[in-house]
Amino acid sequence: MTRRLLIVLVNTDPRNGEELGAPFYHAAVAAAMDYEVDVVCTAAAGRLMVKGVAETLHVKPGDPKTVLDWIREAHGHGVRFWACPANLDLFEVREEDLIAECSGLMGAATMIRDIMDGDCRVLTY
Amino acid sequence: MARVRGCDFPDDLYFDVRRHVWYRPEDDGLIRAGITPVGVALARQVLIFTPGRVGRIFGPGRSIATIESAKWVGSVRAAFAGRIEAVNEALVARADTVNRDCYGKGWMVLLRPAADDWVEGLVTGAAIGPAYEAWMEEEGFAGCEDGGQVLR
Repeated sequence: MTRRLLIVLVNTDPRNGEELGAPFYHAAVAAAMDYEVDVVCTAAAGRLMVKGVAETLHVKPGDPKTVLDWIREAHGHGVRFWACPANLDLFEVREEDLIAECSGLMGAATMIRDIMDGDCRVLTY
Repeated sequence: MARVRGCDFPDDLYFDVRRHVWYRPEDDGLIRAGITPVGVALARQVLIFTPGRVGRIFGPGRSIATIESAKWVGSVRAAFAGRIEAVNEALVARADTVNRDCYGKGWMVLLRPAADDWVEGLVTGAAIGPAYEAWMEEEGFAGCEDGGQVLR
């Protein structure tokens, strides 16, 4: 039985708060069920891994819970977060600028290899 | 029955204080399990209960069920190794039952422990009160209402 879930955030746009809860919540639930969960944030969603971004965003306007809180909750359940190397150039940031919950960089080749060869299922948002 | 900061803990149950899980030995060697009033209070209004599949083998600290409220998910983790023998389907259908009756109709799973020493690390009887008082003090837990269903 597959025990690993890879969640790829490509189309999750930080400018639309309503899109930002489900991926992290699903990741948290999967980890709470003891699945091994990796979340890769790339393209527009890559900004969510940069310090100072997620803490200013809210899924629901007026709700004190920030997107960073959603990320931290998932991380607390054991979810690993990864940024995309190409995003560093796109957003002109360095690896040191990533949030503490981000484990580092996952290259596209690693992601594709894991999807094609690895024992994992994939969800994209 | 021990009552600590408004939360009730029956003397005849075994408690995993840090994981908020109670265990009750049944006559057939099975162990009934559920979450404590403290666990319920932390979860607030439980909307979804998802037990592990019947037949699943688990180890100490592994998930045997999950509960969800509106924006929160919590894992119910086992104190010992064993196998899930049965699940409370009525609770799957009406998860909020656990908010009203966490020791009765809100039970979650029936487990078969892998070894006879499954009680190791759990507290029971006269040890329950001091163990919970110490945990609540350490965590700053305010208490329960009506025996333990609502967090202040």
